[in-house]
Amino acid sequence: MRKIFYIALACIGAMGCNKFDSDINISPNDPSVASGMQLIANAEVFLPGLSSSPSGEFAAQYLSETQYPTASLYPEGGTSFYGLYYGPLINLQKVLNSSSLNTLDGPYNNQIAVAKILKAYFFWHITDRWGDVPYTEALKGVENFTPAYDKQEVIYDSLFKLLSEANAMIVTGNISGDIIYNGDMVKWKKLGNTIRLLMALRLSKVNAAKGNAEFNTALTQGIMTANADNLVYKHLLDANNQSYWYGEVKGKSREWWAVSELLMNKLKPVNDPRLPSYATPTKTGGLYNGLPFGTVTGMPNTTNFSLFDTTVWAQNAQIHLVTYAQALFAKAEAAKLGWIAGADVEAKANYDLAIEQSVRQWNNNNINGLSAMMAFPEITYAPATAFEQIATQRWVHLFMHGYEGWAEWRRTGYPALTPPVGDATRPIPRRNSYPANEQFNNTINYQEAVQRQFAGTDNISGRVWWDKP
Amino acid sequence: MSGASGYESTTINAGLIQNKGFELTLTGTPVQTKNFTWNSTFNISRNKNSLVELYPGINTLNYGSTTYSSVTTYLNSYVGKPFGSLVGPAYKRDSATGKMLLGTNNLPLFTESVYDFGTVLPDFTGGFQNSFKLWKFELAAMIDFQFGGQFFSRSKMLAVRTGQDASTVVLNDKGNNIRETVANGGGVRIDGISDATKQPVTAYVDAQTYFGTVARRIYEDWVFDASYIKLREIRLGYTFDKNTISKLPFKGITLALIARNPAMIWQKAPKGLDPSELSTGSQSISWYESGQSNTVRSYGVSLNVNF
Repeated sequence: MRKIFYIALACIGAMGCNKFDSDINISPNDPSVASGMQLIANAEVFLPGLSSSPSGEFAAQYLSETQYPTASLYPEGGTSFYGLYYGPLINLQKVLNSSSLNTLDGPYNNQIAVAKILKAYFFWHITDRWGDVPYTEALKGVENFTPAYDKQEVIYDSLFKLLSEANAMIVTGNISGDIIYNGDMVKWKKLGNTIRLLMALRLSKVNAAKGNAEFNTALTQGIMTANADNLVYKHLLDANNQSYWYGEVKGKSREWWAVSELLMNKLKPVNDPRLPSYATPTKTGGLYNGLPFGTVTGMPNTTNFSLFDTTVWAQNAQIHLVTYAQALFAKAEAAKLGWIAGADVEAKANYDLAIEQSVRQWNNNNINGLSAMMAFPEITYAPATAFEQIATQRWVHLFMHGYEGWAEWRRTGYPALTPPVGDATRPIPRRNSYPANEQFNNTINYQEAVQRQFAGTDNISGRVWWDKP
Repeated sequence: MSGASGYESTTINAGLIQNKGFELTLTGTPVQTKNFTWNSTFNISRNKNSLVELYPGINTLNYGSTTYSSVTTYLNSYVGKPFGSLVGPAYKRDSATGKMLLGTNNLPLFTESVYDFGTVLPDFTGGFQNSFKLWKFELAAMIDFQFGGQFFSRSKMLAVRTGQDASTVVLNDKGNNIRETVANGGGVRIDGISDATKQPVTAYVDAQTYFGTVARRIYEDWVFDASYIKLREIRLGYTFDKNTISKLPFKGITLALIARNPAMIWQKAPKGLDPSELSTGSQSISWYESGQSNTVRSYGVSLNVNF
């Protein structure tokens, strides 16, 4: 009996199992291949995350914490960038690596151009927050588990090149499956050049000549010309596609955020028509009252201070990421810097129009109250204080786009941010620390990057390459 | 692997792990008379584990991680060390004296979440089973034990952070409630070394702020030794043999009272945590516990009938 059993076992072993169909490992229930445009659309879903984040709001001091002040006290500690690499960027890289794409979705060139623009935008965000990051060796999967960090300067150069290539390769013909511009390639082209324009201005201190050249190239190639060109992520009245803030405020019943006193002080004294779009009147007294940033007393500060407005956290909120008004503020500053012609006349024209477009963007195209605000001496363009006025109004405009407002604050120093009142020993961050697990996942490259940029100390006080005192 | 590769994880032949150890089982019947029998089994095993090598270019294998209040802790394995190190933020210490370093606000400073607290694997595990048979009664007891190994306890950490642990309702050395304001003589006393001046510092800090740091941002105090000796089961049975129940159509009946988890005889971790029943979600190695349900003690009656 036992012998028969062994013989049977031997037979089974000898026969083996190699006659499976080649698709044995392909699930019939899940999609196993994605088209280029599906990958791009998936990457687009990550766009609002570049803006909707409490830590970004705290870095730019737009919002104050009403109940549990922790993140606004600027604790040290790593922040992960992994999700951006294995979320949107790997999908975009897949598109860029494909030799053929489904041309029923639109011209090959245009799909590639959109992937390049989005890749540039995501990487710009990453390098501005962390400094040197993996770029050249990144997104190679199994070929490289430990990608080296590229210098920020190299990354900027590469991104300018990506945007330039995208601009050059766009052909006539829209694309389908695009949830941002509904396939309108004219708008994509303007977006790519506007990103290039804004990136160029980032170099105003570290390499003005390069910044100037890139700025003017971007202008020549055509930037946004109306708010309708804005990069806007439109959330839906649908739990699967709702805004981050709606999930926090409504979903988790969190009244955790009030408009900062700093922001309130820029809005209320000049009767800024955007104020009701930014903040709600206090529950007690119905006043507009900003909460000093980093307050740790009187919790919960939810009744005597203005929470951020309901439209800001609506389920179908629109997240404005790259805007016409930003481009106009950039042109105003460039005129003042002498990068473009026209000096103060040109600067004033762009500054005034930028504020108008910002009010239109925030107030449903309604400009009631705009001219009254413009008459206040703090707001009226004055050549002597123009840099501060432009930067401050840009900061007001960028409300809720914390990471961008913070980057511009780092570059310009306006408006004057102050350490959290609850712990004045904490420095205002100048970058995000690297993800803590890079220290063991990518040890050598991590250490090298920290050494060359920050003399070995990876903390939130280090300045990235373009951030010069 | 670095997430900058574009991927979160991958399946590879990760490395070479060496296990050396022994397992010893002693079984015997120390006493056997007509009406009394004592059967005993003792088992002990030891395994020394070492990670010899990993995939080329990788020195650390990240097995698991968990994030709470923006602090991530890890179960990592390092080449040359046993598998499964607890990794998290620890106190920053003065290199000369080993005392904790304090910031300008007199709160302890802490490392990034990279400090290796050592392996979670135990030194010894085993069990001890005894049964005593006296006439028709049988009493059996099962003990199991573990020496060594450790875990993070988030339950304890949160109990302290939220002020529900007894350690947060004590008097300081001035005889005042630590929850009183520092100005009123309250606060938690801290002895350490100022990071800025390198001078010894003794200070009192607001209790809520203190526990909000040490029970949120620092994991050193929440690493507990997982050693224990536990009485796993007691069983008392009585067998009715054929003669007793000759009028019933059965060959035999055994009635037994059973208690499961009747007692933890000894454990090194604080009371309230059960190192014998750690559960870390779906992960195959238990390395932290986080508000898991308490161990259940159950009593039962069993009736066995033979035909």
